Amino acid sequence: MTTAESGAPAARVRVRLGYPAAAGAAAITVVGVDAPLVCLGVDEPGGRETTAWYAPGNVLTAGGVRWRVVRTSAPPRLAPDTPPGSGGDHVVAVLERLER
Amino acid sequence: MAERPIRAAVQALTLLRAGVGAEFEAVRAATAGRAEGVARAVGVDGARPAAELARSITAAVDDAAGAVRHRLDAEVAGLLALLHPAPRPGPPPGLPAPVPPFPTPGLATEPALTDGVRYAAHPLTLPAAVGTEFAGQGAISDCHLVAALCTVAERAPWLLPAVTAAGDAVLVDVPGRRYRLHPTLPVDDADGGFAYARSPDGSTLVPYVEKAFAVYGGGYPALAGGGLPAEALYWLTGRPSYLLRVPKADDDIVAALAESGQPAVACSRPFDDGDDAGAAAALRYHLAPVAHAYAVRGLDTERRVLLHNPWGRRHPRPVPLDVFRRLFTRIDWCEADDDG
Repeated sequence: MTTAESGAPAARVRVRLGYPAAAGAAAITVVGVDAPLVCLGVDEPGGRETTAWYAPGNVLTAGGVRWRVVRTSAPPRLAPDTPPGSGGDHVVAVLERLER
Repeated sequence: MAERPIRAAVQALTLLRAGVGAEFEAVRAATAGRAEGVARAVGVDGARPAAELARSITAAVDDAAGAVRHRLDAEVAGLLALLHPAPRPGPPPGLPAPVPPFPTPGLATEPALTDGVRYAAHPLTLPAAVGTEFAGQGAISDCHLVAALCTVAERAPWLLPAVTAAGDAVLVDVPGRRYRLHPTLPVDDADGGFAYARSPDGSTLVPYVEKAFAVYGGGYPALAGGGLPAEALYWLTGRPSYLLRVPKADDDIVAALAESGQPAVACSRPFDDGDDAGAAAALRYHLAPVAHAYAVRGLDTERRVLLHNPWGRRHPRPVPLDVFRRLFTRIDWCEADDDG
């Protein structure tokens, strides 16, 4: 899987630019990047949405689990007319599970 | 089964759906205006209570519109199911079962997967309803394909690929080409869920179409590099496909294309370091900070562009035309009508 390392439930989640990452039952998306800050959107199964900026070391809750932002990364520079989806695999943030 | 009358009926229902949607929008706008007027007339003080009253009344209109759309989508899905017949369990009536079962010749090689993904057997199942929401992107960066699927499903569902189960194969027919696929789909190694594109109802038509596209494109990892929606639209429909360079177009051309009813995909530009104004605008309108493809849904009453995110979540706010021309690079679209 491209968003979470093997093992269930995932101990680490890699949040990529181009698509939502599963964090338990929740989905995490990249809303903005101003490295080292990243703006992450968390969509819970019940429809609740949160959006906030995080720096490495910050903690967020997704899917009923607390996650620590281990590291963040600026997206690659791309030409303005680059095809959609290009750079979508770039890992913007790595989250580490703190508890179940 | 005669395909042409069925596709014509689907086309008629889709046009009816668009017409009904426009009517409901007009009713909604009129209802909101009158509700606020009534609130003021009976002495409800303040703009906010009046707006609250209007919102509760227009919610009834939204519910009615949603119910009508759902009914029409279900009718379209029922008609499309006639084009995509699922196999009967066991042999056809009156025929003995082939013993041993004959393998379908010429099955396509399973397309390569990304890390942590494996194939698992999944029978073909058809979606309960066909519309913009019926395809959602999974853990691969192929927004160009999924957005194209979403817009074709909403605006020209009669052009969707025919997908059928036949013995030990799933057949995906796009114009000019048939893909004979193993009845397997990519699943997450850890939890067994669909790894890539999926439908909200768990049906498998969408992942099989994506699998055929992966065969066409040289494997799933190749799809992850992104691509051009015009190519995906042409592959899906076989119809002439074009692109409009948005920054060079004027508002009226963009508006006309958005409202045309032709399947259309808008491509945003990346918003990276050093582009503070672009990044701020992307945040304001809820655009992904990456070059991304969105299905075009039309214009609202204030001539703002309505977009659908193929993630199935985090849809952009309506984007004013002048802002749209600054944040987007192109609209890829294809002809939906026989006569263009």
